Amino acid sequence: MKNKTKKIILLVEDNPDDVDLTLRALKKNNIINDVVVAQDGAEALDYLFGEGKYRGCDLSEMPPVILLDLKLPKVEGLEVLKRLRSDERTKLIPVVILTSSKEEQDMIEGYRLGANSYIRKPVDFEKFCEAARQLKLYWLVLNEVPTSGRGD
Amino acid sequence: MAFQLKHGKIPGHLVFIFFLLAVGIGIVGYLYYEHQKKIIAKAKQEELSAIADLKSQQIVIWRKERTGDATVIQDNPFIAPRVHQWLQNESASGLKQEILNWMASFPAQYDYKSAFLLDSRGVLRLSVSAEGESTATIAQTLALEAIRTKRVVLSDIHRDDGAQDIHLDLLTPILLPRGSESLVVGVLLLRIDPQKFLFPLIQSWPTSSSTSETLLIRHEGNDVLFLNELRHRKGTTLSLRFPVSQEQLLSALAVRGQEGIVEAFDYRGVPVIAAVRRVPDSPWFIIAKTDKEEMYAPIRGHARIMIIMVIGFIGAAGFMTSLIWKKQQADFYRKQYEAKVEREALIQHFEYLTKFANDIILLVDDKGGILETNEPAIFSYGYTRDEFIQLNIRNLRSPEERPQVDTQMRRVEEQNGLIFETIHQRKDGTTFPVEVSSRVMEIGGKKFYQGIIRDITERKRAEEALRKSEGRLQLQINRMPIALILLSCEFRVLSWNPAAERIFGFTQEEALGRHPYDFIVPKEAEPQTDLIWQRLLEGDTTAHSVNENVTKEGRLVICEWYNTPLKGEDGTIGGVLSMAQDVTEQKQAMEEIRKLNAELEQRVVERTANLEAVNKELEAFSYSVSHDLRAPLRSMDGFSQAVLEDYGGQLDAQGKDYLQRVRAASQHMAQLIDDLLNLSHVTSSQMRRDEIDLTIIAEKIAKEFREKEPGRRVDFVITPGLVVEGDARLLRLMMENLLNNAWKFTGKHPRAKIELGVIRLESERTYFVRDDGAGFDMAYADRLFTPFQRLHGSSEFPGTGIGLATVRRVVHRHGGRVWAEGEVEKGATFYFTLG
Repeated sequence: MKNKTKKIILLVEDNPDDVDLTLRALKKNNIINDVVVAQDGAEALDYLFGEGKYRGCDLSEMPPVILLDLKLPKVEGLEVLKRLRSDERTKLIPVVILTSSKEEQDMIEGYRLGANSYIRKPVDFEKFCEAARQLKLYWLVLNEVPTSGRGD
Repeated sequence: MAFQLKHGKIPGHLVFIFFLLAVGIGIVGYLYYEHQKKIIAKAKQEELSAIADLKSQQIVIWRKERTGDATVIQDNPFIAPRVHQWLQNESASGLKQEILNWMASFPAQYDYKSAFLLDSRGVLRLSVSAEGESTATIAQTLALEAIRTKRVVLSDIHRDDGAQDIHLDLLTPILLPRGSESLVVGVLLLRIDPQKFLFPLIQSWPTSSSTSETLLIRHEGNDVLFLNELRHRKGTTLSLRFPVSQEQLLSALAVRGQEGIVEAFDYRGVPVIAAVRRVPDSPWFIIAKTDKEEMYAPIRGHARIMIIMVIGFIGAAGFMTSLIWKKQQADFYRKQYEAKVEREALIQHFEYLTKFANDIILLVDDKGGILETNEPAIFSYGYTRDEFIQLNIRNLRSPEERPQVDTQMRRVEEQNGLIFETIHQRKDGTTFPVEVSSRVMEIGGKKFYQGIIRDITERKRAEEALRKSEGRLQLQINRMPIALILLSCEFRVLSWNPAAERIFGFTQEEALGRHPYDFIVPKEAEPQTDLIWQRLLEGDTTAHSVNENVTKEGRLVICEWYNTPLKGEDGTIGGVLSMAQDVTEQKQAMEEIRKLNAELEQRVVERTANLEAVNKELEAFSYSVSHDLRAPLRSMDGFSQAVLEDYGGQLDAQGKDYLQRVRAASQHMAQLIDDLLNLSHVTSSQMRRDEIDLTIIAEKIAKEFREKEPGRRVDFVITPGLVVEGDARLLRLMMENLLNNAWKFTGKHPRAKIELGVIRLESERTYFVRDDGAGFDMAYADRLFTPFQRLHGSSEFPGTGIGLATVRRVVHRHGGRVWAEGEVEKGATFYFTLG
């Protein structure tokens, strides 16, 4: 559990305002993990599979949770999710969709592709903080992750 | 029956048949008898022939044996020298005895009667004989012949002069060879007794017979001589003779050269059948014969049976003939009886007929005088029978018709009967129409007229009625708007009513007798018309068509045709009735409608496509709104909050308030966006129809409200089991909005009651949500469901003004209605139905 909290969370978000607000909400909830931000889907995939500018990086440490926006430049959020779930190295990483949309079709498609959770970003920042709190509590504290299958 | 029969006399044809039968049977019997006779005769003849042949052969063999005996003597080389020596010298001792011994051996061993030795001059020198008989001159003559010819001589049967016994002599010349010549030294005479062997041989008969016998005869001078002893007459041997020329005598015929089977009379004068043979190498004829009587004895037995049978058959034929005759007679009498009964019935029938017939029957003489009449006449005219007899038929006519009588009577005679209508007059002067059927009868050279008269008043009336009715029908046909055309089987116009004139422009005179192809059927419509015409002639009553026709002015009209074949009583088709209606305008109108419909459909398709495109755009728009419009709001709210948190100390109360207002405005707008999106979803989303329990939905929502604001005291009265059919998501949205509304507008009251229930309005299930909150002024009731329309300020009751608009859309999408009743501070009730 100690290790887990130190692991690096991946936030995939293109809107800088939303990046700041998300980081703020996380910080307010004492989430001390480092957060890596990928500004589009392609970068997120590079980061996870050690390609592009992340070539050669150590892939042994995978994020304890990925916070994934859906409307992304280059590679769509749902496409990113699909690629993660079809790769052995990443298919077990918990993915929380964090998006503005509450379109039913997005929700259904997200869960169908193997998202673990679907959170709509509230406009009210206080509600956003509350969501972040629950997110931390569940995914970073309570949730147990199998130790094998990570390649380390 | 083709033959007329007369009582008690057998008809000629039966007698003839019987006679034919009898003759036939007789002929058959006779032929059979003759045939049998022939078979028996043939068998007998064959038997006679066989016996004659046998006897003849036996005689030949016997004669050859005798000659053979002589040859044995001649061939003995020891005999001649010794005989010669002894004849030269009688004294030669011992020789005589030796010769005698030799001679004696013949009677002893060879069955000869006696043996004699004669010298070369025919003189008897030695004899071996039982009774010391001598040789006669016949023997000497024969001996000299044997000496001269040096050959063996066998004599005929003969009797020596003065002697009683008959015999044959076998004379053998004894030859002594002298160089190439031979010398006759003597003759050995061996005497044969025919009674001993020859005659028994001839007389023996191989079968049992009472009259059959065999004769041996020879020709001697002008006579025929019987050689052997006869069966039926004794002492005939060499003594019975008949002249050769005697007619019908068997033996005479035989010696005259007739051989084979001969029918004649024998020596007794009895008719016989015989087989005649000449015995070869002899002067003899052998005859085997049987009496005809004996021969045909078995045939006579047959003949008796035949005669009995023939008589029997003829008797049977006679019996059969008599049976047939009896039956014919019976038939004849029965028929006569039936005919008589029939005649009587007819007479009676006729009497009834004339008496009780409906028609008046009159018998009139050639002047028109009435001779006889019947009951209906008396009834119809009012005259008595006696008065009738005094009347002339002219008296029965109405005065106007009277002059016709003479002509009509003449025509009746000329045409051998006439039927005509005229008018008759009763005794009281009234008249009535009649139909007269009159005929002439000639009886005993006198002419009579028979009239059958029928009162046709009723018929005339009916005809009149029919004529009127036909007139009316014709009137209707003339006035009817439908063309009525009668066509012949040859497809020619027979009738043409005014409607036809109107539709096609041709008058009746122009149309009658014409072929429709010549004037109203255009070339293009001919194949179709041909088919229909064919069907009609086959009796099809459903031949209906719509086709183009051409009018007199050359205009094309569309006509609807209904055709019916007209059948006669015997089922043959006599013509076709065609009805036609001009449907050109109808057709044009229908074509117009069809075009409009097609256009409309096309327009609908286009509109639908447009709408679909718009809908797609709207969806894309709302998707974009839900994503992109909210992000700035989050930034506004989030950073305002961040400023308040991080720099709150540097701001005075007003600065903080401004930031709070930014946040409030952001959140309101977010709510507005959500509501708008919901509204658009209600319109664009796909509808599903399931069974939905409104009660459960309402209870869930109520529970959420209570959890959110646990301090409020609100009673929810929700009718259980409100199950409706509709889309789950939309109905939930509707209930959320309605209950949220009620919850919100009761917020100012310390206690509140919110109800969900159902009532029946005009037999329609009508649901309602009722509260006892702020209510509204009914004057604005119609604005409640318009988007962004609010009856209360947002400071009083927050809201976006979209909720009830959403409710209305949901209800409309379910095919229902929604309306509201309310009063300020008395609460509001929202009614809705769901189609």
